[in-house]
Amino acid sequence: MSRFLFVTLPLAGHINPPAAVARVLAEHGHEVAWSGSESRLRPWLGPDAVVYSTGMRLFRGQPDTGFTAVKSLWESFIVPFTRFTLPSVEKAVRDYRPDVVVTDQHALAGGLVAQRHDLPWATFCTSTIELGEPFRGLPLVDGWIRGHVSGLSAEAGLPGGTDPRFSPYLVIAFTSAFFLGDRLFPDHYAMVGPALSARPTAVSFPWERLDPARRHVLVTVGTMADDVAMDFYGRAVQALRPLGDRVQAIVIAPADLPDTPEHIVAMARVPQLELMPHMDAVVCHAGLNTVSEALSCGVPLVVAPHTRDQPINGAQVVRIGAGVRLHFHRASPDSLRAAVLALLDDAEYRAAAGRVRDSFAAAGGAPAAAARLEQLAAS
Amino acid sequence: MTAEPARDGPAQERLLADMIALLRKVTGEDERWAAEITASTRLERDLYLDSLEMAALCDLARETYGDQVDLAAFVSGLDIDQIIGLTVGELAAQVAAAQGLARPDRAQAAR
Repeated sequence: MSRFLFVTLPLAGHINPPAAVARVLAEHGHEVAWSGSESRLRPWLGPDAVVYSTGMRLFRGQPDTGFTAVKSLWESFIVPFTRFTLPSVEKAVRDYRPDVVVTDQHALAGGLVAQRHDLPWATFCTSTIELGEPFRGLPLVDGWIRGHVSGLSAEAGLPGGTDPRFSPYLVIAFTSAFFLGDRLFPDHYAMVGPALSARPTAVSFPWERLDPARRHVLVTVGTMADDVAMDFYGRAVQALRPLGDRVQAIVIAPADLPDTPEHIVAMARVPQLELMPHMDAVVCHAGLNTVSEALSCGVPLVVAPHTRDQPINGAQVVRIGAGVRLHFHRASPDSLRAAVLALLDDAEYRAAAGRVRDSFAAAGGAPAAAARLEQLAAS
Repeated sequence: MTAEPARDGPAQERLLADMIALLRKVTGEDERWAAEITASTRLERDLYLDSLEMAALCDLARETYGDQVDLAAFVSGLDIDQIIGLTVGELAAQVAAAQGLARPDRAQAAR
């Protein structure tokens, strides 16, 4: 039996997949400990999990898009977060003595500390931003990011060390090769599909309000700055307002949406995973979690990417034919309505979404990720 | 729908108007949106132009002006702050430079 240390980011979308994989490892008799924000991890992992706390460092939902968002992701989050967590990840490795370190791609301290101790380590890609290579054609932007990474490596006492975003042992991505366009990846890359698991706290939902005679549309932009989200939700409600005879919509809005008609249910929190099989279409920001959850159920999407890896995910949805892409800021109520009706009326979108669902199922999910980690520990 | 090049204006102004027309095409926006755009309007922070629209703009510029206008090559030589601050006027200046009308002074100064 082996000991695994999981190094995490304090963001829900980045905790869900490792939590699902750790559960499988524990079922197989392995030991798992965690490095991360205890207040974020504890609700997901329960009272018995071993957590080496890094303390909390906030990264708020930011309104930035495009390269402004890339810049703030690195300068305001990844770089200071790596410096902030390096001592506590070091302490966790010394105290816990893991056989394998498993680290989020952007929790760079995990890969750095593993290299210091000459331990095998695995990278978890919980977003598509690095796999999508969005800066391949922009050498100065790519070089700017590499400069941050090599600077942090040098600070950690590893000048010229391996890029801590990409383990040379094992890179596990929570999507399928089919979704990413069947690109060829090296053998040590495992595309295992989404590792979905229910949210830690049960959320109730008025199931009796779902009318089986109407089609169902879920609208969500995930965790985003409230004013940016509410502007989009306002346009989505306008888009759906005239469709009450055939559509019921669930809008996951952080604040009250004024003047919503009977067929639009606005709630701050819903059991999204449980709702998904009942949906006919999803309108979202193309965050990897929501896209994966929808496609896992074969539900087509209207994607309005806002920032970071969302344009990459949205482009894949469109390429596969599983949805329609609109501009997050400029999508009008009319264009949103036309996109939703296209998904509801044209069975091709649902068929394409079903092909992604099949690729996810074949990729193996959390058990496949656990098997690759077991192989690494045994090698 | 496409703005006719103003034949009597200075070449730079005509190229700016043409660039705004190209932006309307790739975004599908209306005249009211285009009327707000000036040479100093930033593509990302003011117009929310995303990467796909930027790629479409580069393609459209090449179709419109010919292969010597390679905006994608120009952008590939920019660093992250230059891309964040990239303006409509700088792109028009690139077209002007490619056509031998003028040196792209703004873009050069930003380097």
